[in-house]
Formats: sequence, structure tokens, C-alpha cells
Amino acid sequence: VAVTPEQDDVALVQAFRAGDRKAFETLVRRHQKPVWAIANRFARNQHVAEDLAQKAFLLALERIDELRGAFRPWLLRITANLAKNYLRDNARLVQQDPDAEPPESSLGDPLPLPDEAYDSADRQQAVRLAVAGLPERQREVVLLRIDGQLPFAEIGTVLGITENNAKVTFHHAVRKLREALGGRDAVL
Amino acid sequence: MQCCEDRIPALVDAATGELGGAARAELNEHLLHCPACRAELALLQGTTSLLEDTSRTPEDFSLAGFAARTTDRAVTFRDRSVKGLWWSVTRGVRLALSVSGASLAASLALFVLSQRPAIHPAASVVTTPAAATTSADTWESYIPEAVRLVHDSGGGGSGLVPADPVSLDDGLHDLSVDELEQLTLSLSPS
Repeated sequence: VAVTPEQDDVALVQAFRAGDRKAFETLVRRHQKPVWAIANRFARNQHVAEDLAQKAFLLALERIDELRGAFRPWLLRITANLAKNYLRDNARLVQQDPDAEPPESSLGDPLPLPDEAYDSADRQQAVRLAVAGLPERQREVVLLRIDGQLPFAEIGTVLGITENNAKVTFHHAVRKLREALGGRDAVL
Repeated sequence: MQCCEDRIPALVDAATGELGGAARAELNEHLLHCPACRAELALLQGTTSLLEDTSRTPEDFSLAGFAARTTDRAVTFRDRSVKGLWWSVTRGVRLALSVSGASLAASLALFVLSQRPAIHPAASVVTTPAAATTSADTWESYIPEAVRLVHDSGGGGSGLVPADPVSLDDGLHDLSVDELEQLTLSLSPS
């Protein structure tokens, strides 16, 4: 079965089920970046991120019959759910990133680090902790918008809320992140 | 200072680069007169930018081979699912065949049993005309027959052993010849 770029995602899955290996590879290439980015937000290393991203594709393959609507938002939501489960099961590991210094304060407290102290790893870790500490729905919106690069309209559809609601939720998430990261000075 | 709540969706759109055209112009017009919304937009942009910077979107080299590795895993997963399905189907067929076979055997056995003539336990016991017609089927009724057998056999030996052991019921065949004669004499009215 020849795979064209325009081929529908679901058709690619069906083609793969019928034995066309190339179809699934095309599907993965099409969506791998946002899936990988969501998986990588909390994963403690690239191996874990890759495992989570692969599991997202496998779950999509297994549950393709449950798909209603567009494929990509649905796939990204699956990935966000896997990330949530990973966070739940590895809360301690997420807070103790071996690649970065541990944060000086707990999740709820503002991080008193000045801008210049934010080197890449510190900043990464601080933001990771702050995002991990968001309420589930807010975290989901942030993951889907920033890492998944979905427009708010699609986020609303996949989460079963209105587009405006998705934007307001994002705004609430930003406020929480601002508090967690130590206010305006730390963020800007 | 609180920004205007009704402007939040537009501010979020502006911060994330989704606002354009007339909506953008309208927001700009509002921002000229609303310092709270200007501050909010700046904060939204700053935080969004920080989130985007820390989004570890993989570079192309990180994703090298990812699609192939994922596909390998998917192929294994698919094949295992197919094998699992095949195993389930064949197991179901085997089970159905076993149940059918057992049912068939049970039906056959019942049929064969239903075709056998009825067995009356008394018929196998009755060996003498006297016994067959005697309503009081007690052990005493066998005594004359036992005595006859003893005499026919010349007082002992193998002639005592009846063709059908049940014909000498109630343990009489366990007695010796002498014991039977004693027993007969003791029971005789004369």
C-alpha cells in the first residue's frame, strides 16, 4: 500500500494493521515532535521520555476505534495522560532531577533566585516543578498548548471545554506559575 | 491592579501568538488606555516565553531513529495481539469441540442404557420351582432343596456347589455338609 502525505492518520493506522509497516512510521514522523515534547517535560532522562512517547503511539494504535474527531489532539491527550501517570508514580524522582541542582524551596514557595542565577538547568528544573505542581486541568492545558503546540480551539475540543474556557484556564495556570516561580522578577 | 476580565482570552491569544487581524488592532486600541491589561500581557508573554524556552522539544538528532524504533515496538505489539487473538479463537474452538464430544458420549450412553431390558433382582435368586412359588421367601424354604443336594452328592463333595450360588442364599452355602444335616434334623417337625 503506497502511503501519500495526505493520507489520513486513521487510514495509516488501518494500513499498518493490515501489515504495512511504512504506514506507521509515517504516522510517527508526522506527530513525533509534540508527543516527544510532552513526554519530555517531566521525564528524568531521554530514555524515559522516549519510552513514554512510544507508549503514547502504542496506546493510540490499540484504542484507535475509540477515536472521535481529529487524531493529533487525541494522541496528545493520551500523551498528557501518560505524563500525568508518570508524575504520579515518580513524584520523588521528578523533584530530584539528577541533571540539575535540587531547588532551594518546596513547590509551594516562591523560588528566590534572581534572573542571572537561572542557568538553563536550574530554570528547567524550576519550571518543571512549577508545572508539575499545577492543578491537573491547568497542567493539561499548558502541556497541550506549549509542548503540544495545539491551538486553543483544539485544546477545548479534546478536553470537552470551550475555547474561551481553555484560554482562561491557561491564564490561571500562568498566574499559578508566576507565584510558584517567585513573582514577576523571577519570571521576567 | 486587575486587568479587564473580558479581555483575558484576547490577552492569552496575543501572548501565545494566536491573535491577528482586526482582533489584534482592537486589543492594541484597548491597551493604549489600560495599563493593567498592558502589565498582564507583559506577564503572560514572559511566562509563556519561559515555558516555551523550557519545552524540551527535541532537536532532529534526538529524534533520529525514533520513528523506526517506535514502529519496531508497534510491530511486536501488533503481532502479539494477532497471536493472542488466534490463540483465543483456537482455544474457544477446542473447548467447544470437547463439550460437544462429551455431550455426544453422554447421550449415547443414556441411549444404550435405555435400550437394556429391565432387571428384576428376584429373578436371579429363584432357581427352584418351589422357591419360585413360595410367597414366604425365607431361608427355611431352601432347606429341602439343600438336603436334596446333599443326598444327590452322596453326602459331600463338589455336587453340593450349586450352579448359581445365589440359590443358596442367607449364608447356607458357607455351612459344611454335616452342619447342614444337623440343621435340617433340628428343624424337622418329627
